Amino acid sequence: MKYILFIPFLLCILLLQTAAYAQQKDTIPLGTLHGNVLDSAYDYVLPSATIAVYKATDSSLLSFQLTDGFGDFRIAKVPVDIPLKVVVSFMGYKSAIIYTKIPLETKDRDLKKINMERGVHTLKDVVITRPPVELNGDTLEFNADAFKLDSNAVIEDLFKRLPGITIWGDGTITVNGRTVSKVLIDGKEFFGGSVNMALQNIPKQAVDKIQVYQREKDPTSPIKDSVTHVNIKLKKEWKMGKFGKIAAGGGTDGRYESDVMFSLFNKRTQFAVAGATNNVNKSAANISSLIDNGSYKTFSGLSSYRPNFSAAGIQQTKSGGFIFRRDFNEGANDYNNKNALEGNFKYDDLNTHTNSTKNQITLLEQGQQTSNSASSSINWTKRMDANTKYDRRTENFELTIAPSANFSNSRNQSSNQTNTSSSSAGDVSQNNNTSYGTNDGKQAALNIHFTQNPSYRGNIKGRFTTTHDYRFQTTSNDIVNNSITNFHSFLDDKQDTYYNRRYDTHKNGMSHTLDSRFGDLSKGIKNGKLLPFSINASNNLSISKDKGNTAVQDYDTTQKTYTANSYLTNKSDLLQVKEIPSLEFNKSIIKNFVNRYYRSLNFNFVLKEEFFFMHNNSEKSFQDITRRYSNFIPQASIFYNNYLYDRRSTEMKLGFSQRINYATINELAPLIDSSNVLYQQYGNAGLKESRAQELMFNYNMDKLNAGNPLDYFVYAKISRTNNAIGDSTIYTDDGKTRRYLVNVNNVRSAIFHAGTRRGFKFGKTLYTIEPSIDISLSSTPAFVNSVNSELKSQTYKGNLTLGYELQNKLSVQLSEGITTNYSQQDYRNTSSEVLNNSLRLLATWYINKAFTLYTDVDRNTNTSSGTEGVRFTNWSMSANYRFLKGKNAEVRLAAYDILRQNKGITNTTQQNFITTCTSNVMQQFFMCTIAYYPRMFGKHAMGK
Amino acid sequence: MRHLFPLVGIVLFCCTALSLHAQERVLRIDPNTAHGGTSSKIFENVQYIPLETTKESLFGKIDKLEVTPNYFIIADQTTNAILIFDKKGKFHAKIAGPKIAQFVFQGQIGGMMVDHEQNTIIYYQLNEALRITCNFDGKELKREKLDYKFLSPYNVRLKNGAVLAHYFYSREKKDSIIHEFDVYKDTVRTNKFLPFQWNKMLISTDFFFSDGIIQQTRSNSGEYVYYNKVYSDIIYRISSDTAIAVFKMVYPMSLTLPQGFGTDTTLDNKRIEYLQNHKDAIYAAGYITDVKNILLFRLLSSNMREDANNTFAYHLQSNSLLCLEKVSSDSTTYFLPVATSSGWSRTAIHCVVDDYCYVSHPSNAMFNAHEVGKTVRRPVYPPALQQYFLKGKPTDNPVIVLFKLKEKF
Repeated sequence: MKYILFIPFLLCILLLQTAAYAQQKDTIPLGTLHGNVLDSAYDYVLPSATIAVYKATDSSLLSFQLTDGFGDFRIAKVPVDIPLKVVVSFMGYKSAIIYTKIPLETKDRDLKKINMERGVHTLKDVVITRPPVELNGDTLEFNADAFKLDSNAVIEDLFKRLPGITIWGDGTITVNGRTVSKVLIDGKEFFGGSVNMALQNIPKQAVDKIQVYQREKDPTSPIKDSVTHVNIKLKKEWKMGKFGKIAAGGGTDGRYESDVMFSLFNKRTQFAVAGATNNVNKSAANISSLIDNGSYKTFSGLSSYRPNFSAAGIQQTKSGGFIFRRDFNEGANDYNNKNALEGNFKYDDLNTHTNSTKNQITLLEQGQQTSNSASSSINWTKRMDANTKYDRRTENFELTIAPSANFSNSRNQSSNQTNTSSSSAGDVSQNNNTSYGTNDGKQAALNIHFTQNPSYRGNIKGRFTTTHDYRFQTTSNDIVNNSITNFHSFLDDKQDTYYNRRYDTHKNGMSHTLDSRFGDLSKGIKNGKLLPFSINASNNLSISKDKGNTAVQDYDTTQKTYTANSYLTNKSDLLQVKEIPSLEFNKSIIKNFVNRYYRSLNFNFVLKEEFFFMHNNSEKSFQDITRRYSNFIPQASIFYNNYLYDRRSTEMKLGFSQRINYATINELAPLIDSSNVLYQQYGNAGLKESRAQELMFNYNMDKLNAGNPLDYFVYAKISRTNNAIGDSTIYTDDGKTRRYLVNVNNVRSAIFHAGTRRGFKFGKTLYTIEPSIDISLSSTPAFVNSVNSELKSQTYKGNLTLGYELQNKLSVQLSEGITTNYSQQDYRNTSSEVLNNSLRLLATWYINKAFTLYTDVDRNTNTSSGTEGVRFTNWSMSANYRFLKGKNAEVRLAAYDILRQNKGITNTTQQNFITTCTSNVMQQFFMCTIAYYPRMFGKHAMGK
Repeated sequence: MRHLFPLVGIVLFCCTALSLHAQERVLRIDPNTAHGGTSSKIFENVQYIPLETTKESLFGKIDKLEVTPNYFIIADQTTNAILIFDKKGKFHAKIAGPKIAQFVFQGQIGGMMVDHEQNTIIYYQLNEALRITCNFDGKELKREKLDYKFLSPYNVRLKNGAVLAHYFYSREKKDSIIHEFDVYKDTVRTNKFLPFQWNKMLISTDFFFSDGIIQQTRSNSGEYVYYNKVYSDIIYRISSDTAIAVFKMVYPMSLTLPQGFGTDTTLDNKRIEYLQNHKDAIYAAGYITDVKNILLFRLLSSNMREDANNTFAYHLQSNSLLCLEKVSSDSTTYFLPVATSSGWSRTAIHCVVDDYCYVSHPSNAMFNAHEVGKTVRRPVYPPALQQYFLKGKPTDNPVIVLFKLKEKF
């Protein structure tokens, strides 16, 4: 019943928006075709029959529609006076073909009653011309062959042609306003659920049909909620493919880039390998985006793998890795029949050079201190990440075993000079620091997840759902570091200090976490009779042990050797145990006024107790700390759902929850390293745990009428923390910051987010509008030079994105975002403000099948009180030329930061600081890249 | 005395002759070959009667409908009330049960019947074992406490005043013999039909409690009802005196359950699973009633679609099968739904009185059809419907539709 309402809603779009595909000039007049489809042998009309109108000469699809509840159809905007072939089809019937023409004088053709004859077989037979769209039960199916596209078209191009389907700028796909949460290929996720890989590589010719259907989110919940999934069924001979990319490019300033990708898939295996090297700040966070980058079609704006012009520093990257999936059973699907092994591996070799300056104004109770610091650093990192996952899923249970391992090796070299001056005394100090060192880390983890659903059997034990999640992790780190600090005070020579310190640290840790959940316990009480509410029990237990061993040495200038620093040299052993049992009560009140509304109000109350035990054993006796905490942290939420039949659906949630934060050893009893001259934090063994209370509100509205889909959302959260770990900070006259930790009460914060998304699709044009606002407020009590005060900050962000797309011709996106950042210091009655304004234009012009032009203009304006404002425009352009029959060779000329204005500058203000950071970012360069995309799908090499 | 023996002989001969003809008639029903049509071809004298909606008269849907010469008497479980409207749809009176949350047993009223001689409404408040009698103005006349065994919410009052009650569970000992149907004249049981052993009864988790099988629909003559037991293919005609097997339903192979599905004990506890895996298999015929020589029924399967084409009219003389959902509404019925599933998914035809069939549609379905029809087809509504669409809302009370089936369809 729930998704029956989705169908007329989807059908309405097909009835109202008939897609006209003819490349018609304005001079060709258009007319209407109408009629009625029925089974005259049994005398009844056929609703939802498919009417497809083709040009009789070349069988190109002009328009299509489904018949209404009376079997009637009315197709407008069909070219007149040309021979047409109208094909009428309906499941279980022989297709009817009518050759006709719309007369020029009347511009109207009545096909009257079209009689359909029952076919002996169902649609599994070869039909003369398969209909472009069909309703198969609850699933809407689009037949790919009915849409004639270029021979190099990929699935994404087909999606753009289907009425009701919109692909947004951020990659989200919506069908009639409803977001598609999953795209599957033959029932399975493709390369880890990558939408790009599926849409941008597989040729349109490989597709048999595209199925759109609703899937229930939680069949056990009384609230009607379903998600939209899309399944792409491939043709039998095309169920396998190999595709890849080889690219290399060079440019000015010694810039270069090179990418290699190769993937193959068949019915049971998916494997992709990729490698990249460049020095243009192009890096992929995970192997999936690296592989995505090798997609045949990378100009839809979806790829995140681009030179990053706002990243601080210049990075040279060498990366590689692979991803695979092997299904052990035939005909698997990701819903209830999965038995597969998946994994990925990534290797990175990064080399980053960063130069930055930071100008920070600290507002004191009287006057201010300004520190100007210049730093430069080089970092070399090599790391390896491997993850595998075995997944077994049936109707009744789900088991996942996922081991992973991670190795990293990095070397660091940096230097910094900070000059501090104060408004009263001018220059007060200068601090110089150089350091270099290495960090080697290893980590291995194992995640096991198991869920068992109740089976439909009489006994009580079988009626519970049990879920277990177990995680085991072990890490080890070896850090060697050498740091030389030279502090000079202009106010008092006696404060001058020099340190040359060497650190050798070994850390290792091991942890186990087990999360379990059982429900619905009320079925076990009262002999199977239901209580008025449901009860779920869960338990979270985690145990971790961390050992540290640090040897610190100081360089003795007289003896010219390193001697041990007995204060800082230390061995410690930390044991932490957290146990959180909880009991959850759920009650739903449902009011269903048949055919009017379905309202449900769901109350959720959780009794939760958090036990935390911490025991630190250290060579320094003041660090031998044992703490036991026990906190009761109940939670409650109310969820309201109002479903008005055929009209709209509203959802609201109000929830209250609490979180406890515990002080770490470094906050309770740290070892103070005096070589951090400018900043030191003193511990406080009396620190209590903090309790944060949060109230969140969520609102979602979906209009269900087919005509104009609309959805908007609001999210708000306020929180208050008591006993938060806050500071009492002393700023000395010579620019040193001394931070004392104290518990402060009443730290408050609030965030608010609201937005909406509207799209209007007319034939081949798509207009989109996405406004949104974000507000975040915070207030923290603190002590500034012993003066009690409240530090307040507010951020207001408004964003509007407008989009226009003319299929295969032009795509433009304009977005304007303003962020205003305020901070108030009540102890001195001042406030400061930072304003950031970004105006961005992204446009892609598909000149013809071979040439594409791309431009990206980003204008940034940044002003803040007390410092100079900055404005710069980053303009990049690129021209692409694709050649060869399969359009799989490409030459790209790109010009980045043409105006040479790119700056890596950020201005912020919060609490009692106004900070401006500048770092070296990439600037103007030009690059020429050549790429080749070998593709072979089924038994066909593409483009041959 | 001389004529006694031959008289007795003739009577005995007639009885045996009758029993020879007591074989049930085989009806071959192939839903695939059912025909459709348009309203003008199939229905005649179609009338739409919107029911007045006021704060007091607003109700959920029609669970049971009784038609008297002057009133429509409606029982609604969702608002726990019995409402009385006049033949033009104007609200007359309401008998409200205690205000309870939906589907709570305590306080629920049910088993509504109308005594057409005395012009009274009789209903039960089941948890208190009360039988309450009211007049057509909603005034309570009598309140009696009865033994629980006389109270069945699934009952039909036949024309001769006998009450036919359908039982499918019992509070008796498990090994006792229960009868599915009991006939009562007031509180005296006069007859009982269709015995079965309680412990051999299909356990409650093994079949769907479809309203169409548990509740019997009043047939045109008012003298009997039809009953098809779940998983069986025999349709019984049950009157106050007899229970005769009248029809044997034969469906196409692909829609038929395996032999002995209802009686084979090895299938215990697995039947529902089987039905869920074979969504098209017909497990019973429900909402069976008749008008003149046409048998009306709905074929039930576990396919839960609201718009399934499963309501049929079988002409017993011409043997032609009509599927009511395949009859499309035309200008004679203002392009509004007549006898299509949407909205009447749980009750099918409410009753048949004086050759008229009565169905109802919720207002949201009526307004939806009105929205679709008004721009393209522009039907001309009769004054009652015009007022309804002008002043009414999709959340209004359901609309009663009555129609006659044409002789030759």
